[in-house]
Amino acid sequence: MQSRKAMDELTLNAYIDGQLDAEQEREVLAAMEHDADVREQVCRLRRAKDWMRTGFADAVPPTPPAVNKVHRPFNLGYGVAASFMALVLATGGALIGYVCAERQGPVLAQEDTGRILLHLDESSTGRFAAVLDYAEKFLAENAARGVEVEVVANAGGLDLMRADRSPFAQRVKTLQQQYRNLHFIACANAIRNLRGEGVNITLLDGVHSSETAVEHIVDRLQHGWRYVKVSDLPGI
Amino acid sequence: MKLMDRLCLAKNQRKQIAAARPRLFRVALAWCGDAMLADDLVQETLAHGLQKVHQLRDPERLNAWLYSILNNCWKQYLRCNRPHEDLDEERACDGPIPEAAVGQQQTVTRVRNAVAGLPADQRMVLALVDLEGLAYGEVAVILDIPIGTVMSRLHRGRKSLLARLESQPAAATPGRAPSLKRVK
Repeated sequence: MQSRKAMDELTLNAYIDGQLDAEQEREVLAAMEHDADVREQVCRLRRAKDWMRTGFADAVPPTPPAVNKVHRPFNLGYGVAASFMALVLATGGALIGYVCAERQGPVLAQEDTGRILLHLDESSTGRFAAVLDYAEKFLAENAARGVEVEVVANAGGLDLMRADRSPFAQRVKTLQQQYRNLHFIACANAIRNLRGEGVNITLLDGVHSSETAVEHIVDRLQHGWRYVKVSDLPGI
Repeated sequence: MKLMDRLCLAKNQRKQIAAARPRLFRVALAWCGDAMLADDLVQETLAHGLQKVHQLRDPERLNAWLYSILNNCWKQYLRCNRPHEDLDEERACDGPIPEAAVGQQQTVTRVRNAVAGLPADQRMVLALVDLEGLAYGEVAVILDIPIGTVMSRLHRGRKSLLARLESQPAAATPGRAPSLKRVK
């Protein structure tokens, strides 16, 4: 059996973390049975572990303040109509095309509800063009199916939606007018950070920015939206 | 792997990544001691994870992979914002966290203050082992350090934490003795 002297604190830490094998555990248990100091030591280490858990068990991410929230008329009505259409499509799934990879272009997949999220996090004219091309093509080809597309931008991707930097401001505006089911969302966190650095941010008209990009993506994923990597789009 | 399987796998992994946010935040908060910064680090981690999930070959390693990304984001932050400090020496803050110090919250505040006063390398190991229940081997892979280093940092971290918390016992709350509300 391991002597008390050899029952070092590393071993006792490993014991309370469940990292010892059965034989080592038996040795610690035996030492605890005969040695009040070892018992006390194990008790203190467990206390430290419990303290850590208590200190962070209820930690929840903060809710960022809303930034430049833009309300568009008819959005709610359109959303309900789109959801209804999506439901009809989902229940009548036989009408929908075959399953395809994301790389293969904007064709509705069998299990797809027709709600697509395009995530941009890099400032690149080529990527911006590819995203807009993809969104436009998808919306045009599936116009009768009540689909929805959202372009979500954070980090450098925000440039697409900034009035002072977007190389496609006019095209974004035209697409928004043409497709009520196309939405642009700018990350509230990225905006907050840039403003914190003294950058004056003005977004293009109709761009939403009430939450962070990740919060939005998480929410959409949980509601069955399809996430499309911009790097996988044709032309990238 | 068949195309359909691959698509379903990626979809499930993205859902798992989305669901990991609270756990990552808890760890990030323990590492950096600042809720807003922790949230930024987690958002960066999730964004990176969502973009790069196709590179993950072993789905079983998703959690460890996310913690590795968080670790990289944290190191990157330290390099950019505190370039003259070593990870070993870096401390989040020594001042009190401005939170209401009553009842349960008092304990939370005391613990977070004590953790914030530990060196960053110790905080990182403590958070992964105690908050996330990861095995020493997993922590070693995530932080890219030997298991022996994980064990020694954990040992030093717990020792310092105990010294800090035991030297500042919780103030008694008048008229409110601890009560056992429910026993399973």
